[in-house]
Amino acid sequence: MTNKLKHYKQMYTTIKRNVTYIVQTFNETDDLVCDDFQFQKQTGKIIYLDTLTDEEKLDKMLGKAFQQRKDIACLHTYLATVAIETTDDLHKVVSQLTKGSCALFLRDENKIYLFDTPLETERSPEEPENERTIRGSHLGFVENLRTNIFFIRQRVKSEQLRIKYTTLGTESHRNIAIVYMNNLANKDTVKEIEKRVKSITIDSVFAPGFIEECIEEKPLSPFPQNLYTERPDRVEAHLMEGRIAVMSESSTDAIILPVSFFSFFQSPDDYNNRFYAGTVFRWFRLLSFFGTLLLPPLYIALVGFHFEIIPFELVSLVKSSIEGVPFPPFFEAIFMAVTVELIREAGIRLPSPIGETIGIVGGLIIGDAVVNAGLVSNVMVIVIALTAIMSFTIPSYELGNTVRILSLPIMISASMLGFAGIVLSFLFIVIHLCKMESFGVAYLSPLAPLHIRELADAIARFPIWMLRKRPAELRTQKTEKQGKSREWFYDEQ
Amino acid sequence: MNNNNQINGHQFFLILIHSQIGVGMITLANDVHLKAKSDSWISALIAGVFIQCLIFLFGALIHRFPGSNLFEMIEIVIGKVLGKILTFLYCWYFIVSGAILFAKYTIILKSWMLPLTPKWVLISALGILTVYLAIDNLVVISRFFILASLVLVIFLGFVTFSLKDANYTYIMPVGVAGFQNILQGSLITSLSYQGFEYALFFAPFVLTKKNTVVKTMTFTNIFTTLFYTFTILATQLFFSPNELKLIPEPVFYLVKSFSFKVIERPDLLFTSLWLVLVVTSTVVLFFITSFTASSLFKNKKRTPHVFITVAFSLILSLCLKGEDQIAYFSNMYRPFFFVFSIIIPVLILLFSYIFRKSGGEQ
Repeated sequence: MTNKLKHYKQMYTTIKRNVTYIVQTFNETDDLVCDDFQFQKQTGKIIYLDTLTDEEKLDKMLGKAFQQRKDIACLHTYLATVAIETTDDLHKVVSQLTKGSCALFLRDENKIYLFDTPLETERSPEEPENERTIRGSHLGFVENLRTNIFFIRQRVKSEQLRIKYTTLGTESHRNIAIVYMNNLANKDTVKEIEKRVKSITIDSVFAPGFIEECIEEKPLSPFPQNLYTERPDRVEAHLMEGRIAVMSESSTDAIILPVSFFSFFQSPDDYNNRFYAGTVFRWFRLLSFFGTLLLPPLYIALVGFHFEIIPFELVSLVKSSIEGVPFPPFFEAIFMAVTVELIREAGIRLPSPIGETIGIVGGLIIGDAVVNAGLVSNVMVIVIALTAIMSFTIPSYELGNTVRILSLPIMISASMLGFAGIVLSFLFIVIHLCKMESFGVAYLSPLAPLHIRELADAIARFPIWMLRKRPAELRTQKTEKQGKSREWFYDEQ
Repeated sequence: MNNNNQINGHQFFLILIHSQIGVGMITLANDVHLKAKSDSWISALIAGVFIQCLIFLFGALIHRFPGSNLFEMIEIVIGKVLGKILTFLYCWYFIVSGAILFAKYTIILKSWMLPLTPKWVLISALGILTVYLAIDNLVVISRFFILASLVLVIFLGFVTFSLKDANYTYIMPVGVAGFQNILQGSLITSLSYQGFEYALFFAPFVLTKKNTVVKTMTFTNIFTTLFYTFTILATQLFFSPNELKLIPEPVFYLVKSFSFKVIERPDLLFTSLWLVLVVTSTVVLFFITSFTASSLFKNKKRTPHVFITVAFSLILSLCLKGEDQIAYFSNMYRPFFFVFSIIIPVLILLFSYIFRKSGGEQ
């Protein structure tokens, strides 16, 4: 635990002993700089971590400014205003130094001045690669927590936007922010999230996945229970629904909770499209969910068990394609599915020119050669390729992966029990989804439990002025999202 | 896990409907036809009315013992020891019902889809699913039932679709079978209504006013009665009486006769969908069974009892070999349905009036 740091340590009376203490606490690290400070008769020491501190800021605060000052009394008032804090606790000094502050010890004084001088290097914000949109904002989060919160504050100019900081990681001390709308989000949910986040005792929270896995309800479930996003506009939309975002220092992702299954099928683009297009595209995404899960098993069951179900003309077509293939359809499917996974895994980390080559070699050449060699049937290549495309249509990368992996057990049961196997294993997944809850919100809501009005924004995308209420399952403090936004239309008539 | 068992009226409705409509609905039209001939649909209606009368009696029972389930009522009325014995018998009655359900499911699945698959594979697949859902609370179960209701809609769609080939002369003249045969038919149909008596167990979980429990039960009964009547009527209009005698699963044959451009044999898809309804009815049955079993012991945890009772049923159903044996056994078992689902609750109501006993928490 962080007890060692929280422990109070009274400063020594001499500067020398104070400095030695700090140098020793930092294990004599080489980037700890200790400069002399002199102003008229007053002398002292400045200590800071060279690698964390912005020299320019430091110079502005403690260098240039003194050229204008004349007397000691003025020095003290000046220091008191510029410093973020004065303290006599050496532990506090140490912990502030690790955050990029600078400490000033003055001779014959029993307090230490701390100055906020962190070096801030950050890349300029870009559009997130994995959440591109055609219209709307193209801003993405960066690796700096303050900047990220700035993006949110810039969008939500409200005094109700509340940010709660905590520190996680017993060694690495990473800042975590819990962001929510104080007048919307359910108070109990906020409390629960805070409780769970604070209960994490890990030495380093190096990825947002650490937080996710420590606070979710069903850690062994294959389904993602939190939504990751790198887009401030998406965070804003979810905050306004009454959800809560958890963000961490040095990460571009915000974790949004509690979410339901259908949140993974929404994309900000839906709301910039005409609502017909938005609705139909959402249907396609839902269709891809079922397609990814069921298409290969359906094919396996059709070929292996229920040939009679497909019309006669198709039978001859399928039969001629699989006649020369020496393997049962299940092995064909596994072989192709593994190939697709390999191509994806190989292409994902390579620089894009090589990645494209891999795609061509893998996709075109292997696909073609495998059919020509008679190892895999034509139809199976089509089925697996279609499945892969469908799985990438799901906006959430995590859910897409989950679904592709889950289709394996369904394939196995389809190859053993045909359609009955598909139904029984699919039911198993559905039952699992029914059992899942995230902070009191049923995972399948608003479908099960049924909230018919909310389906308007879950499996369809109704016009925005018709989406009047927030999801009931979230138990927000205010349920109305808007008044009558198209009142003028009725006034004119 | 079982702490969140409170359900509302809608969830109660769903649970009751799904416990009633299950395996039996496929064979129902044939079973009734053997007795009531072309007047089977009247039998279904009469059975519905008969069940409705029972629902009012049950309503009186629930009203008299608010907040208690059937076993607690029994214990209040006839004493602790007799009550425990009766509860034990109930438990076995449910387990054997489950075994028959499992056995019927395998027969139908084997004859329609998987003739060569060993029986134990099919039964254990269903058993695993049942256990997985039945260990959870009623709220989760009713969530699943909302999704499962989609199958009922598809089912109704198929049956309605068959009306395009309806031949109205098949059910003419109305009433030709005779009053006695129609009544006997309705006795057989009432077996398919098995599940309405579960209301006596679920009533304490329902978070509504007392009257709404009876109201919901009535709605459920109206739905089920119309559903069965419609199904029977549709099959009767589609198949001639002579055909109906020969086909054990009329609904599947009905769907089998269709053929679409893309799907040549919709009955195979339909049979797979029917599995959903089988799962829903076994889940409710074993929820109740495990509940009964756990109320026998001091430890009220239901989860281990789900495993044990399903295992018992699985083993029993594996012991039943061959179609004839199962048919014989389930015929033998019919009277028990009337005893446990109808006669005992009604007697309890009578005794409670005679001995002037009522109770439960107000």
